[in-house]
Amino acid sequence: MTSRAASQSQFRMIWRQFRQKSAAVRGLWLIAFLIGIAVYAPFLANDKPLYFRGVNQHLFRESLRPAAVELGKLIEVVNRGSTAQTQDSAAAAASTPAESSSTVPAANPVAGLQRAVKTAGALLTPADRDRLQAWLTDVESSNGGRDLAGLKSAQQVLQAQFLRGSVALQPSTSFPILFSLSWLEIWFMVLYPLFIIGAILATRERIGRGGWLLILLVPTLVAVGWWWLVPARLDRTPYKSFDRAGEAGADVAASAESPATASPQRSKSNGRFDTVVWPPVPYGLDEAYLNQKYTSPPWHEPVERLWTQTVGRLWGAAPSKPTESTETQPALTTKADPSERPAADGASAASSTPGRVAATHWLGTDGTGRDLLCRMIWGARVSLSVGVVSVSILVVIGIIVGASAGYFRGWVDIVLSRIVEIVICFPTLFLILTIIAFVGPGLFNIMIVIGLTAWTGIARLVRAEFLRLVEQEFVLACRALGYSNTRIIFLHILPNAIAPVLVSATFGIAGAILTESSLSFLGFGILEPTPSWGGILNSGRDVIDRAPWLTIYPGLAIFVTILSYNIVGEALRDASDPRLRGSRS
Amino acid sequence: MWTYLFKRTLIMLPTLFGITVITFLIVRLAPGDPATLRYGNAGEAAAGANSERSTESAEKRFRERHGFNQPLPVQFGMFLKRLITFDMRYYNRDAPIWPELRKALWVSLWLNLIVFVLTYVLAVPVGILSAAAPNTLFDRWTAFGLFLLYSLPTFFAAELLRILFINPRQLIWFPVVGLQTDGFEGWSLWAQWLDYLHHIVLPVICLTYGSLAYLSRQMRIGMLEVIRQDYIRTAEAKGCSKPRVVLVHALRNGLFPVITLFASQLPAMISGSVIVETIFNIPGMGRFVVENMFAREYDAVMFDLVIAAVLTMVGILIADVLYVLVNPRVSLE
Repeated sequence: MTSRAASQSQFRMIWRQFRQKSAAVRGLWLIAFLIGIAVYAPFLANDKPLYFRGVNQHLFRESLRPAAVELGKLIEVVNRGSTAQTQDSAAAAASTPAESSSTVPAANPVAGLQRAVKTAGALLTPADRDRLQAWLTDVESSNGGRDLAGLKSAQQVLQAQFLRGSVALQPSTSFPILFSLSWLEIWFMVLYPLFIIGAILATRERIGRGGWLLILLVPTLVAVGWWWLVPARLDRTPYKSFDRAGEAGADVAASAESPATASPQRSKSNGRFDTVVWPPVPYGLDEAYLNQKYTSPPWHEPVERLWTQTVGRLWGAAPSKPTESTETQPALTTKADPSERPAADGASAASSTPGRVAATHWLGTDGTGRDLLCRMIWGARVSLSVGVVSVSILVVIGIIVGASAGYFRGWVDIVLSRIVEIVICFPTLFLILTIIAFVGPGLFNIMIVIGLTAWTGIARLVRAEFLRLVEQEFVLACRALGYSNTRIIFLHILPNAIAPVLVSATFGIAGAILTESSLSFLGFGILEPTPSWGGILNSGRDVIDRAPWLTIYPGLAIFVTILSYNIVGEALRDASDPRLRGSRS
Repeated sequence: MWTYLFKRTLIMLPTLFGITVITFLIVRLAPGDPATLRYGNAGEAAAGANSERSTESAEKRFRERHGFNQPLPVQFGMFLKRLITFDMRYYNRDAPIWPELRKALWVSLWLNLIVFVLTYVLAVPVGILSAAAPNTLFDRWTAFGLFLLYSLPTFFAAELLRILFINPRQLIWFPVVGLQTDGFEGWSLWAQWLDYLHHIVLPVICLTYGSLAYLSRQMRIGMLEVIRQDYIRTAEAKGCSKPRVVLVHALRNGLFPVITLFASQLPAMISGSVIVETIFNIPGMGRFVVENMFAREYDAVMFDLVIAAVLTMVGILIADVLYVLVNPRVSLE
């Protein structure tokens, strides 16, 4: 169709103009980089390893635990069966069938038992697997013979030898982070590189409609496959408490041959690594170390000393010792316990990290000892998704309202313009603040409220464009051809009006991110424990004198994000229409 | 002129009505009402059937007294009546909002007046200077700096200033909390004024830089467009000096975009300083609003919203009139 070809050449023209501004292209890459961080956050900051080869006792116990539950059910059934025989038949007959029908057929305990034993057995060494299998045969025969005593002793064996005692596991390989991902995350992770490639190809005009379809189809197929094949599982394995192979107390397998001698403290060991690869930031989102709260970034103290010695002295500041800020801590720590004192620098923080992961808190920690860099990486998800989702909402509303007003004119235009006029009177941040205060905070509320309140700019823009375009001949031609109004609006007029909308949407994303972080900063936005840049800033407000990194780094992240969106928006506007130079809505 | 103003005011009336409707809907359609807020938590806290029954009946009485058991249209009518008769009140303590509102309004008005004047006084010359010599070193660096400032979130700037001027570094050039030093009442009027000015330095910086960046960019763009025009070349050709061309011939036309922005500056008296007032603990309108939102004072919040919207409307009106005053080519009709 001609209109599509026209719009494509329009985008080509815009891109050619846009490319000439190196700052704008860099801003675009920066945005892509930030989105990449948000998309791949689980691989960048996590308390699980990327790759793990070794013995995972915790996983074994977790997968065997269902067996204990199913065995309990079996015992209950057998028990009830035996009591029902001895009791008065009238009372028992009334209650037992009803109850047993509600518990037993829901999940066949024997089948569940076999499944659990099978999955757990796969982790064992052949000798122990046979032992477990023998145990299962015992249980099955006892169950067949309705042997209550046999079942109960089997239960004890399960607890003592397999669940609490140590068994010999064979080393297994796993990718804990990968398999903790949801299908949606997989979708984004596959889409992201494809989309970047597609965008690069599009700038060289080497991709058509089929290519874009493929780019959307591949991640969707992968995500569906993931959803189908990989069970959603919460991996609670405490990898950080694992021992490295060869360390003292780590050799669980050595004593496993004689389970009777397994000491109680030996059973505390959860596993050991042979090889492990941690993500760059080996800290989890909610991984709190109270003894490390307000740990400063490793370079913080030298920089501060430099500051006080040069600029501070120059400006007439009294020489203050850096230790003073930690001396004022007792109000917060309450105890004189030296371990409660915030660690002075990153090195000592790393050495006191529980588990065998020696890692620095590159950007320090917050008030509960959580790693700031990790929270900022995950917070990027919130901030960037708020921008994109709320702007999608407001663009859709704005286009529909503006297009109807500009296309139909008459009383539709009068009514819609009046509504726009009324909504425009409310200052946006103020309006959003009020609604959020009464509706309640939360990520989705913020997205929706920003989307529902900030659409007036785009509506006015689209209306003006439509008023101009409706007069032109191609619309008359479309009408003469008998096209429906929807078709004319969306397929013929809108492509001609989309460039200013794109520009406005880019600024809108910057505005939405700013609004979200302002709300979170004021305490109305995204609340703990969900990480967001504005929320971290809010948590740093009261400790700004002794933990300024809680303000500086998330603030910089917000600043850089908004800056790059603004640069890109500005260049887009100049490229799309020089007449619009200077306008922002 | 006066007939125009009269007509505009008439047109504004339906918009005003729409504003009150939307305000009312936003606040009242959210779950809960002042009665549940006032008695809901008390009912949970009080143990025993007796006290529960008494809070229940108190809640009911409260609802009846303030009309929260009526259907929404009736409630809207009551809200309108209260709005017109200035009978807005705090529900938590059953007191009118006026004394506190007046104090907060006074504080914000002064603060924002200073910000407003400062913004225009700084932005217009900066815009003119960079437009008078486009693409020079000065122009490029101011453009770059203003762009950075424009993208800098207010709360981040304010927090950075607080880091700079808060205790450990002992840089106590400027106080970071409140508007007056404790015990200022006994001082002379002059000292009080100095103290006030000393306190508002940081908040004013935070409130000014954003609109300053925006305004001077607009000013520069507007001036550039004017300077390109033919009549400027004519003025130059007949031998006018550069300052005369820029300040006398170009400035008047270059002012239009800045004047239209007036509309957005006026409502900032209420809404613009929410963040800054919260950070610097200034008892102005912004903090008044936030506190009432946290306490869910329905009337106070509704009234604030209405004021903010009306101020925008008035701002737009003033901008339109000013536009005509500086640009005789446009008539009021």
